[in-house]
Amino acid sequence: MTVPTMPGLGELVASRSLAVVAGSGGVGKTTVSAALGLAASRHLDGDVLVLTIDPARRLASALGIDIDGNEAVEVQVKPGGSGRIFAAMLDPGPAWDAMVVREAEPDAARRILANPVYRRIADTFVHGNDYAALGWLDEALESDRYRLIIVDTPPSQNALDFFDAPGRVEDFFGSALMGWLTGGDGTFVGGAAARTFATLADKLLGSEFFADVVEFFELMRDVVPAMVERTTAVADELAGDDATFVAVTSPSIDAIARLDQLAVSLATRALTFDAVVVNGVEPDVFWDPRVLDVATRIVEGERSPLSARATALLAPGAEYVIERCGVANAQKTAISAVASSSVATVPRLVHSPTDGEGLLALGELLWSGSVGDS
Amino acid sequence: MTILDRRLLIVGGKGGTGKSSVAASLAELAAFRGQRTLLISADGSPGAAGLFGVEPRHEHQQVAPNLSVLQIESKASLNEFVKLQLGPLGVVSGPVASAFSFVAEAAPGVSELLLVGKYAEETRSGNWDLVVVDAAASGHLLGELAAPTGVGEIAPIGRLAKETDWVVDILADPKITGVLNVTLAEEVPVSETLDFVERLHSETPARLGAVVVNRTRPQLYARVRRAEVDRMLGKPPSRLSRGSRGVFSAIQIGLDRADVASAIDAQLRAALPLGTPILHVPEFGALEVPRDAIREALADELSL
Repeated sequence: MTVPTMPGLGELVASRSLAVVAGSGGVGKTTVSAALGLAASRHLDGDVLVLTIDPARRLASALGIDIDGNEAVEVQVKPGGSGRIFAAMLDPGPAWDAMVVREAEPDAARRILANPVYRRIADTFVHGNDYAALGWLDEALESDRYRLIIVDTPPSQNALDFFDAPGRVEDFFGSALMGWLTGGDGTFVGGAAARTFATLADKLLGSEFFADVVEFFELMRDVVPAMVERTTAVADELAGDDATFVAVTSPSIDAIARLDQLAVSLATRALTFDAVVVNGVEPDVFWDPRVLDVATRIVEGERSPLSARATALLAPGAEYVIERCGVANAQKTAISAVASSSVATVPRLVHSPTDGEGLLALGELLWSGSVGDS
Repeated sequence: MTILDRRLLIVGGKGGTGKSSVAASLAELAAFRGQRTLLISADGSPGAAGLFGVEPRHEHQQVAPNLSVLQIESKASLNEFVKLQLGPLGVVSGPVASAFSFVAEAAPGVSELLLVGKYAEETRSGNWDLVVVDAAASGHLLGELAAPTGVGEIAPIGRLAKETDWVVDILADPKITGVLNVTLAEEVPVSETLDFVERLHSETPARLGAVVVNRTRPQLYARVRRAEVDRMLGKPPSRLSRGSRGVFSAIQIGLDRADVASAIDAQLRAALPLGTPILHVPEFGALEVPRDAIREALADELSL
């Protein structure tokens, strides 16, 4: 028995221009995205961009970059290909600002950016970050600078949120609330419901805030249709033939069940995961029945192939080995339940990769699928 | 005195660290000791309620003797607050209510303050000896804890902001409130924990109660024995079978993992404020760790 291997993600990723990496929080999405990006830049002609959304700072420094705002920064790791590799970290605030500046008249843009409600709404309303990411991607795609863009989706979110974000923005600004607040000509008019609303907002949130809310909605009214149109186009591109979905999961039964739910919701949009990366699988040695057999004999002290002294000395270590062989076995069962034709496993490393070299090694593993003796 | 003798434990940590299981285990331990305990989930997932197999609801649901769970939903909290503040006028429904909650959630500090206000309200209600909160991920949690003082990034506005002194009193009293951070003995989670602790102390009135290092690996050998094992693994007998060679390298992996966990643990201890309790929950040999194993480990660490 050995860790199941696969041909590698290289062929799949090389055939696309966008790769969306999805999965729940804490499974190593950012690490997998960065590693895959490094390998891609070694194997592909042209530049590669990894867009991460809220990565661990350690990872940014491992890539040798100091990320500031939304600028793509060239990574100081040289994987040895012809292209370069860039990384960017989405900062939703400035990404929203850029969209506003692009779509609004200069005076309106200034007033929107100065409105105290604006940033808060951008931050809090449902999936504002996904929306900002789409706006950011739109510019990156338009620039035509990159051969491949890898998108590391926000932690603990559903990959589908990306596709729903433009619709949510449209709903938000198209709601009855908007009508009450802005009326026909931008003044606050309305019936009893609108008056009740105004009283509530005034009493509980203060009249100043309420005035800011009204101004914000008025200003955004003219900008939103163009923003929604652009981001819808990006979302369509993410769902198109040039894009691929890679899911990352830990080898636990729970995580794999969550993956299934995600696959079901992707299917509602006729999308599938093209590959699943199971991260943190016990290394090969724990999958070997001969290892389990010897460890068991050492612990039981019967028919041990080692000297009596070695058997006694190594017994506590062998107990650990038996435990991890059991875990590896359970992982095998869990992995076999992954509903995807293409499954890559990444062994659990003693040191999680936090430098360019480690990430590149992991990237190569993912790219070509060859699992060395770990 | 252990952390369970406080009245409000707010359990945070990054995704994938096992924060919900730790929060649920602490709540169960308290309930077993006879404390009337409420476990609150606030991160939008089925969280604690899910662990006890009940539907997440915005109401108290008893799941075991002395133990109830509550899932906070922001819209329901807002409605409660509105009713409290406005009396009959506050009884609104339909499009007005949903439009209002839309806007109120966009108002600075409102949703944060409603959450932390709910934790504090349950704590002072007298209905519970201990309230355990399975809280939001670190960044959001800092925003919640800073909201009542208005000194953090988010200063709450409006009437809601005017009566927050009592919330601050509860949060700022280390005999009443403790914030727990759940982490792993790995580099990235630990550096995030240290960032969190620093910001907790500089931006919020609340104080750290303990750090829980989850899935840690205790040393396989005492020091003297270890030197002997190292010598044997370094110079294995000749003509070993494949299985035996595998056992040697597998034991080496176990030793290395435990060394990394110890080193990171030492790093954590050196960087945390002096005297901060660090509770260890070991890694178990199963894919899904049974909660009673976590509970027993925590009970040992708390000397219960």
